[in-house]
Amino acid sequence: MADQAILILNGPGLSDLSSHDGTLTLADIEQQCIALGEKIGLSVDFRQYDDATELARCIIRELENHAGLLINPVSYAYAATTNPAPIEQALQLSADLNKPIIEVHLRNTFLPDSTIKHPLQAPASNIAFIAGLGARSYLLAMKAILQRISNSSEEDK
Amino acid sequence: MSDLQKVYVINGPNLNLLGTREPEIYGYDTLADIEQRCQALGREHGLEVEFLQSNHEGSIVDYIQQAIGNVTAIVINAGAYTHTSVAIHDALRAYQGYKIELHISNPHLREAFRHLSYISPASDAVVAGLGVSGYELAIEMLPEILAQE
Repeated sequence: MADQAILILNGPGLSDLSSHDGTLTLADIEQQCIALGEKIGLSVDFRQYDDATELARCIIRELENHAGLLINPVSYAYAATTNPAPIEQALQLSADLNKPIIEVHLRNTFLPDSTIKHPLQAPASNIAFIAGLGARSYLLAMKAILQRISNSSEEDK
Repeated sequence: MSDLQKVYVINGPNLNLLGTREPEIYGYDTLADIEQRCQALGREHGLEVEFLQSNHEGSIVDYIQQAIGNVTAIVINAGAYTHTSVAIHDALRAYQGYKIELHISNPHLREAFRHLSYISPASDAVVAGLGVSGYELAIEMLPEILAQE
């Protein structure tokens, strides 16, 4: 059977991680995700958008073709100039698809010096949350998605 | 002497009811089921995992204090004390090992009174909403995390 594909979406600012996590680049994270995916049988569709509306559109268009979604929204969740609303609406609209969705952050967003104020608010979609593990936030999320997919396919049998 | 790294998994109020309380939110596994799986998984990964549970805030503070100097990492699901306990926050700040805050559901999707966590700013990482598998996933990843710390 072909590997199931998951969508990994990265928000603005993540094309340059130097201010977030030292020498780690988004390309490094992508490589780590692909490597883990090859090991556990998930293919990875990894993208980055600087625009909230485009990111939201990608969720609406693409989520139904993927087994799950990992989203690192970064500044959408906090910056005064960007608005998380389109992303949150897209997640709300996608709730019926019943796909596992996990919000991930490299750093713990609840530390006093964090500029991210709160997780994405999309009550209809059952989003999980992982923060503070660096690139491993993504890897842990991938394993969690795989587990969720395998559990629900067992239930279907 | 064992060369396993010691990990406490500390569970707060009502987690002793796991498997029976609101299973549609928390699942059908009991805390003992999860403990067994985490201990087996820990042994595979060089960790000695000890589960602790109390409904009493002060006992949770005691567990964290016991961990100081004795335990490499703490995974803590403080249950409802998450949203109220400055005492647990302070105890966690006094503990210098690695700390993961864990929740079975995602508190941020639930009632507004669960949106504030006193545990998050005293932890290194937050894992929420992965169901009871969050425990196992966290234990499985700990050795890698600890190797890098």
